[in-house]
Amino acid sequence: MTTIVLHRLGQAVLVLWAAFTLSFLLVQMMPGDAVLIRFLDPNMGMTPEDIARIRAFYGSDQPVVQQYVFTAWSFLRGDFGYSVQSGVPVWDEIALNLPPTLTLAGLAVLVAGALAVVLAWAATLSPFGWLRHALGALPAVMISLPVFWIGIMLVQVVSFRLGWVSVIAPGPWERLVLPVLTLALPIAAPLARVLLSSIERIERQAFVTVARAKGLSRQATLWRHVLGNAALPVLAVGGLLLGELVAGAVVTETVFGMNGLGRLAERSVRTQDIAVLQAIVVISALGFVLVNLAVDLVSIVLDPRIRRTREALA
Amino acid sequence: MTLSRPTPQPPESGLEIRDLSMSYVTLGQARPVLHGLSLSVKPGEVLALVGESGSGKTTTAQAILGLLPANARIDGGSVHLGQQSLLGLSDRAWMQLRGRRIGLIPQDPGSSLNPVRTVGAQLAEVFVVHGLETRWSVRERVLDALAEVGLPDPARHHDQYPHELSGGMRQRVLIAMALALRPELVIADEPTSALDATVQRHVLDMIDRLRAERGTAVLLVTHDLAMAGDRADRIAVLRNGRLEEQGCVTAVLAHPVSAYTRRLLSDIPSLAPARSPAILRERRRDAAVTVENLVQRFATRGRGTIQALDGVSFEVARGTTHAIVGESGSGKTTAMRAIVGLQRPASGRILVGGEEVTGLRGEDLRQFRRRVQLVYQNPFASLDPRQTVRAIVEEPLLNFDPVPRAERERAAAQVLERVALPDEVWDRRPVALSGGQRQRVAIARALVLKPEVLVLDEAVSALDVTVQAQILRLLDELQRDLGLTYLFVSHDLSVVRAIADSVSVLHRGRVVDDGPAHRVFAAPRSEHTRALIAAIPGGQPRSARTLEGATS
Repeated sequence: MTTIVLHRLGQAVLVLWAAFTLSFLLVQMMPGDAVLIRFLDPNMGMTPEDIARIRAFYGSDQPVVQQYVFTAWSFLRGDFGYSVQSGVPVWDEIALNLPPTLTLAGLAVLVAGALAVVLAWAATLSPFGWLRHALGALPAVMISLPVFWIGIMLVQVVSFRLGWVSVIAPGPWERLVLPVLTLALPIAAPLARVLLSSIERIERQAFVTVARAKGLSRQATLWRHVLGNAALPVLAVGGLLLGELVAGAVVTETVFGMNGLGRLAERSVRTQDIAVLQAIVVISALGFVLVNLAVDLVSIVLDPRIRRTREALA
Repeated sequence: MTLSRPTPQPPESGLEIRDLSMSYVTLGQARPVLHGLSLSVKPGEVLALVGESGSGKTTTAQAILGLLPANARIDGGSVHLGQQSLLGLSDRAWMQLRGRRIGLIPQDPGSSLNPVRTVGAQLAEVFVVHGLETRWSVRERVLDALAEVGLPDPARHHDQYPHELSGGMRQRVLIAMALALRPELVIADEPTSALDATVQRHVLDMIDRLRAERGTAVLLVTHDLAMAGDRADRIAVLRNGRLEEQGCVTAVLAHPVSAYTRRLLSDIPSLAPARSPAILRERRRDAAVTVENLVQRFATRGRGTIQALDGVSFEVARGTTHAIVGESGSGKTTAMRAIVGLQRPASGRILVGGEEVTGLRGEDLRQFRRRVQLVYQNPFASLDPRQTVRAIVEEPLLNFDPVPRAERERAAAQVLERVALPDEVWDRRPVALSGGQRQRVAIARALVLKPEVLVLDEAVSALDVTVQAQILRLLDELQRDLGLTYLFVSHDLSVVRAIADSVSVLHRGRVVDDGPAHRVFAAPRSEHTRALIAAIPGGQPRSARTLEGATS
C-alpha cells in the first residue's frame, strides 16, 4: 500500500513539472506580452523607458531560461508573483476566485454522478423496451452538446420561458442551479454511458446468474453484485473527466457571468498575464493529480484483485 | 396442451418436464430450440442431459430456473417441480423457489463468484435472502456450509475473496451455495468442465455424496458422455432440441438406439483405442525437439520464489507427437513458453532441429518463430474478430520475407484446403464460424509458414467431443502427410492417449513420469500419474449403483 502511494506521488510530481514547463513554453511562444497589452495604450502616455522599467520589475526582460528557473523556484516556494493586469499578488486573485469554482465544480460532480446513476438505472430496469432504448441513447446525444449551448438553452427555457429559476437577483443557491446543471450535463453523459455499458457487461457474467439462482431479485442483484463491479471503470473515467470540468468551468463562468477560476483563466489568457495563467495551470494540474490519486486509492479499496496485482508488480 | 390427450397428474416430487417446446424470437423471427422435450428426475436420482453446444441443454436448464433470456418464448408443454408448475410464475414466486427448492451449480467457477465480495458474504446471502438468518446471525451457518463441502479452513476462507481460492475450492463454495438450503433439485451445468481431472473427480464425488445423503434430484447437464456414464443413473441425449434417446446408463452406453448416440460414443477419446505404438517403431528418427534440464523460477512478493520448472528434460523424435501432461500449476505452460521462445529459462537447453533456442535474441529469435508455431486453446479468443479467415491465414506470411500478393493468396488457399475448410467460409469473419472451424483456421494459420514443430496448447479442450475427434483426425493426417512434429500440451489424459506417441507427466515442475504413451498408461510409475489416469471419465462405469437405483 505505501509503495503504491509513494509511486503515485512520484508520478504526481512529474505531472506537475510537465504541466508547469509546457504552459511556460506555450506562453513564451505567444506574440506580444502582458506588459505591452496592459501599458502600450497611448492614453497612458508611457515612454519606452517606462515600459522597459516595468519589464525589469516583472523580470520579463531576462533571457527565457533565466525566467524559467526563476519562476520555477518561486513556485516551489509558493510565491506565484504579481498579476500584471491587476497589480495584486497572484495568490490574492486565486484566493478570491478558487472557492466559487470549487463550489460550482463540486456540486456539478455530485449532480453528474447522481444523474448518471439515475439514468443508467432507469435504462437498465425500465419495463418498457422503447424507454430502455431511448434512455440508453441519451448519453450519446448529451455528449455531443457544447457546454455554452447547454447554458444558453437552460437560461432560455428554465428561466425565461418557465420562470422556475430567477436570473435577476437570485439567492445564493438559486444562482448556482443553472451553472451547476450546465457543467454537470456534459460530464454526466460519458459517466452514464460507461456505467450503462459496464452494467450490461457485468450482467452477462456467470456470477450474476448464480446470484439470481440464489433467489435474489433482479434489483437486489444489481445493487449488491453488479454495481460494485460496474463502478470500477466509471471511477477511472470520472477521474479523467476532471479536465473536462476545468474547461467547462471557463465556459460556464463566462456564460453566467460568475466570478471564478475559469473566468480568471480566460482573462489571463486574453491579457497574457503569465503569472496568473501559470498559477492556474499548476493548481488545476494539482487538482487533477490529487483526484486521480484518490480514484486509484478508492479503486484499490473497491477491488480486492488490484490490491494483489499491484503489490505483485511493485 | 391438447384436449385429445388426458393430462397426466404432476408427480409427487422431483422434476417432470412434458412436451416442452421453446423458441428464441429475434426481430420477429422465431427460431425453435426445443421440440417437445420430455424428461423427469426423481429424488435421489442423477439424470445426465447430454448434448453438444447448440443442442438446447442450456436452454432447458435456464427454463427450469426461470432465467431464460428475454427473447425466449415457451410454445407449449409443462415443467413441474413436485406439484408446482414452473411455467408462468411471477418474479416473487421464482425468488421463493430459486435457491430454496432449486439450486444451481454453474459451469465455470472462475467467473461464477463476484470478484469484489468475500466468499462468506456471498454464501451468507442465500440464507439471508430467504429470511432464514439475519445478516448478523448467519456466520455460524456459513462456516458450517463451508466445512460441509470440505474446505480446509472455513474461518479463513470466509473472509477471502474468490481470486484467493483455487478453481476447485471455488467450485466447492458454489456447491455449498447451491446446496445450502437443501433444495429438492440441483442443476449442475457442466460443473467440472473448467477443472483439472483430479479436482473434477473430487467435486463429482462430493455432489454424489450429498445427493445420496439428502435424496436430492440432480440434473447433470454435460457434453461429456463418458462422465455421464460414470456419474448418472439415467442418460438423456439431446440433439438440436430433440430427445434422441433416454434410458438407464448401462442400456444407453451398451446398446445405444440412436445413430447419433453411437457416434458420440465413438468420438469419446477415453473410449477410443489408444494410438498405435507402431508408428514410433518405423525407424529410428532424429530428435526434432530436445529439452535438457530446464529450470525456471518466478519471484513472488513476500513468498520467495516459485520453482515453476525443476530440471525438466525430454526428447521428441521427428514426425511424432509428444504430450506434456499436467494440471494447472504443474509447469506445462511455462515449459511450452520456453520452447516457443517466448520466455527465457533460468537454465537448461532447448534444441529445435539441432539449433539451440535459449541463446537466440532479436532477429534470430524472430526467424526461429517460423519453425515452431503455436495453436492456442481457445479458438474464440485467438483469432482477430475483425479479420477474414483468408486475412488471418495470410498474415504470418507478411511477417517474414515479403511474399507477393498472388503467392500469399495461393499459399493461404492451399493450407485452408489442407485443413478442409470449405471455400465459402474463407471470406467470413471468426464470429460466423463454429468452434471446430475456428480451430481449423488457427491450425491453418500455424501451418502456412511450413513449420517443423507445432505446439498445441490444449488445442481441443474447448471443443465438443465430435468436433474434437474431427480435429484430432485432421492433426493425425497432417502429421503423416507433412512429417510434422507435435508438442501437445494438455490436462486431458483421454485425449493424450488418443494422439500421443510419448508422454511427459509434469507435477509441480518436475517430470514424474515419462516414456512411450502405451507404457505410461499401462504401467504408470508415479502415484500422480495413477491418480490422473483414474480420473479419466469412462474409466469406472457405475453399473452397480445404477442397478441398485433401478430396484429401489
